[in-house]
Amino acid sequence: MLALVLQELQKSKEPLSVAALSKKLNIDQSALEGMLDHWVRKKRLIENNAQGEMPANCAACSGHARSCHCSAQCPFIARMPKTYSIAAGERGTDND
Amino acid sequence: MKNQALLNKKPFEINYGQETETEINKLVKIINQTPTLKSLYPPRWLAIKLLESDEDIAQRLSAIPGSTELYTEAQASVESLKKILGDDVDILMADQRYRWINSLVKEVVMKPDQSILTNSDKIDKIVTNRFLGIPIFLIFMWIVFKLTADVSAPYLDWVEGVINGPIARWTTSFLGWIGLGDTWVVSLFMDGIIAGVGGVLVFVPVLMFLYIALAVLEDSGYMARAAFVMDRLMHALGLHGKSFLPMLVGFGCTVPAIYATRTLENKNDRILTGLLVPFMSCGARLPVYVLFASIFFPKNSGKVIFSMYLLGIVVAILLGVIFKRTLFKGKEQSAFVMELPPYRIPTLKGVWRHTWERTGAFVKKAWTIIMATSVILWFLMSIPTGGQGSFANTEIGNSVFASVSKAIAPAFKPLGFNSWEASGALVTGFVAKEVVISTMSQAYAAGEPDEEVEETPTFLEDLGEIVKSFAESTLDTIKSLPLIVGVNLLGEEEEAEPTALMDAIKESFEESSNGNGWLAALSYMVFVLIYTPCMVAIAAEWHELGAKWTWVSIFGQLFLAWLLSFIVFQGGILLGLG
Repeated sequence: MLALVLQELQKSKEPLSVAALSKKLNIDQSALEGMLDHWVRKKRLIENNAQGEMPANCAACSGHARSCHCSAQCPFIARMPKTYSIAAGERGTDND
Repeated sequence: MKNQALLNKKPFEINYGQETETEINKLVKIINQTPTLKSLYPPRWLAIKLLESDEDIAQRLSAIPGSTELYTEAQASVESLKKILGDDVDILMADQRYRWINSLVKEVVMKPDQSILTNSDKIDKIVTNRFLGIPIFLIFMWIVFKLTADVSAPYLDWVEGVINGPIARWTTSFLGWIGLGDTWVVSLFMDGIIAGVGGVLVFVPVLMFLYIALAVLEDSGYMARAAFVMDRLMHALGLHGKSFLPMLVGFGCTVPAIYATRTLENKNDRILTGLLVPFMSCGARLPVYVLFASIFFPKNSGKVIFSMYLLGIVVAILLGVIFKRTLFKGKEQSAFVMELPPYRIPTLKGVWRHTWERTGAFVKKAWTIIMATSVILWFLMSIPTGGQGSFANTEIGNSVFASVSKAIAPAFKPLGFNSWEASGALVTGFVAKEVVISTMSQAYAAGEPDEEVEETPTFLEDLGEIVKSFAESTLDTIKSLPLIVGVNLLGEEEEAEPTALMDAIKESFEESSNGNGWLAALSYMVFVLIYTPCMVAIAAEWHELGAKWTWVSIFGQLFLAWLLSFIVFQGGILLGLG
């Protein structure tokens, strides 16, 4: 079951949200969250869009700032779901 | 009796599989034979922790006498299980637990009937409908720009009246009071700072209304739907649906929009989206549209502004399609999965907070970048060339700024606007797009005749007039709300009189285009929409896309802006629309 989560993310070209994984694997979100946390603790997965205090998953600022310096000018703080991807080294090659 | 039965009941245990259970039992046996350990920890729990190589437990055990044998045995069990099962024991044990959790959740969790639609689902059935989704998105955008252009107009007039009336008078009086009344400092303040910064601050109500409308759409949960609706179109065109999110951000400001491209995983998609984002009309360009639309298209200003935004989207999508099939040819795109939040009624507090933050950022920009640019421009407009006049005492047409602008103006002749004022404003627009307006205010206002002042009002009279005109503007704003649906309660006679700046711009464009003023104005607006974004956006592009693509963006946008403006102006004349 845990391996399935890892395999699904390895197959995926892009990070997946809990909802997307839940749908793909037919595992309830509440159970899946624990599994994802397990892999994050093991450093096999990365939790994206979650750093910083600011914009909880703001599409504009995720991934580049611990705080969003441009939020004041941004009329669309597009909130994105938390996503997970395979940690560097797990996939083998960069997907870029 | 009942309690005794409960105590005797075997605690719940997860079965970890035959091999693991054998090793657990082996360790439990050792623990049971060691009274110190048995009294400290439940034997099965301790055995599991040791098999999971729990570091905390290993450390605690090291301090307990007699635990060495257990620890050595546990290590041997871990190695043995790893060989048999082919993976780390802790992962295999966690996997067993999650299997059990998943089966338990499936058994006991009652999901609400999926066939019962929530209110959000019902709204989504219409709003995200395959056929209605995009028209509804366009209707919302139309309402936003109608609100921005028409409903904000009374406040725009009010701010303009306050800046050019009381504030200008107070500044002149203050400078006179401190003994600078007859010096060039008065011109610096009046023709430089007040004309430049004031010319931009006049548009604060326009932006406030835009930000209020966007905050309502955003807080209600509609914006996520807009991205969802556009995803289908983007995919159909071969672009990644996620690309629309940075584009949506670009309606506010290009800078965070360029950073937002980081949400795209693929490098090619990131560069492509970064190149398209500047075509989304940012808030800074809006004052230019509002000014030109109110001069040349007073009856259809909302439609003209809306069409500018639409043109930006269309150009971005068309370019995206061309690039995707040529420069950025790549693999098939994967699906864009996003979660749609439930609809909510926006709170006044939330809408106000968003509006205030964003308007505050605009005002701050006016007092920093725009003020600095206005002062520099004033000096460039005050320094004479060719020995005609002296500093701050020269015809503006003979200034350094005019000379430089005149040198580049012929390039815009085929586009219908080759006056040095309009051409110079495009050059300074590289600093920030709002500067286009402040430059025009300075360049045109310098030639403006002084208004005859019958009697200078007192400070208190000015204050009273500010309050009174604010109340009148509020009333007019309420009356103008039905304009969104095309009902005019204001009456023709109450529509705003054109200002001296508006007259000067109209005259200049009519003259430079041989009487095709509105075509030249449209061509100018298209140029402002398409040409290179501000310097901060260029810095963001440099950072995110690299030098090569930034140069492509700068020159590519300049060329495209020229080409599209040429098509608009010359095409319009060919079609006899002038």
